[in-house]
Amino acid sequence: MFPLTCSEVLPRLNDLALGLLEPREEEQVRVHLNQCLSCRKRLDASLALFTDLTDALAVSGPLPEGLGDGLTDRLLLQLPDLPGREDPLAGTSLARKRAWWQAGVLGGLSLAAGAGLWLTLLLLLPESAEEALRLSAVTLGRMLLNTSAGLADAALLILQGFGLVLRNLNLWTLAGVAFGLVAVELVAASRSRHTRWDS
Amino acid sequence: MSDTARDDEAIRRCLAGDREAFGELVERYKRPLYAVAYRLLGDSGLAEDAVQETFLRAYRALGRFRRGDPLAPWLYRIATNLCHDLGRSRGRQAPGLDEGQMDRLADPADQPDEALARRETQRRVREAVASLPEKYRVLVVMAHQQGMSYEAICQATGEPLTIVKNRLYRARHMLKEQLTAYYEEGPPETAHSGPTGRTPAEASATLEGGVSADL
Repeated sequence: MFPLTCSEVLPRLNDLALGLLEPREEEQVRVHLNQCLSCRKRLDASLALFTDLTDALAVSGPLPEGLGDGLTDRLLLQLPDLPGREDPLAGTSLARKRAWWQAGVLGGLSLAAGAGLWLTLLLLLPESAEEALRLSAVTLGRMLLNTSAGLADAALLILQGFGLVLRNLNLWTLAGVAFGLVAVELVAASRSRHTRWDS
Repeated sequence: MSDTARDDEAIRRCLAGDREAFGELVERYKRPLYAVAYRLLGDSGLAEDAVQETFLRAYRALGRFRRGDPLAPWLYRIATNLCHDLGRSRGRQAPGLDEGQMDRLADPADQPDEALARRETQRRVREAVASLPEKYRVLVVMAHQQGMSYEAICQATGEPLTIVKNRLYRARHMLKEQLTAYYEEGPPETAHSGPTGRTPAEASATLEGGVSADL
């Protein structure tokens, strides 16, 4: 068993004060504390703080009148006979934040999928493969050197690819691509809506 | 019967249409939820609103609660999110420092000067907690008022263990930094002698207001 250093002991002092360390780990920390006044002082500071926190944050005494005996009856008056399956956080800022994240992720996925698809199709078209490779290399280089110009090039490339695809592919293929994108979005949406307490 | 099993039984009856079972859950959790909301909002009226709305939402969502999970973290998650919004709509980030009737009563065994020192320490500590950014404050209240385990805090906040541990470490560090000067000015007798008669480890393991010990 190697003795612990101060930097290894410090992150464990709070858990030691709260009695959360495993016995073996606690023993290692205590061996260090027996030899280190500085860490013992820090442990004392943690113990003092935690005692004061428990004391200062406690809430005792009678509850407000509105939370007294009639609370359940008043609540049930406002509720249906059976519990439901609503989102308990609906309308809260956390839910709105989650919705924005979902929209962002979905939008990002769609853009990435769309861009990847057009570029792939562009590269696969035999009559334009050389030109497409050249354009892709130039675009990649410019993106590494200058983001805004590179992005403009990438957008141009995608548009060119769009035109080529429109000229060379039939309606059924486009419909298939659109269907694939919608399927990807639906799968992503259903996964991101799943919250940890959902059954 | 463990607290989780007891809650699960009440939830099963509730889902089957037994409305009295919901009353059992309300009675069991209204005090700890109020304690958390009160410390986050610093206003008894707002805290009362938050608790009532938490129960309304919990009932309407009970059908999607995953049976067998501890109920308390789920309720705390609803309550703390409501507190966040109530605090924002009030236009303040930090809670007020209401020294009202719900604060811990002085220990009758305290001498007058000890009681005074203890109240001053409580006030300073509450001030320091109130000055923390909200994401840290919530964790401090869950850990040190409710004595929740890391696992329960993860469930209540939806954050991974590493984030919870890291934020708690930083929150405690900030509190120590803020309170060092106060302790060094003249640490009150109560600071190190355990005014509640409980060690921090005991306080961590024991839960206020009858919250389940297996959180």
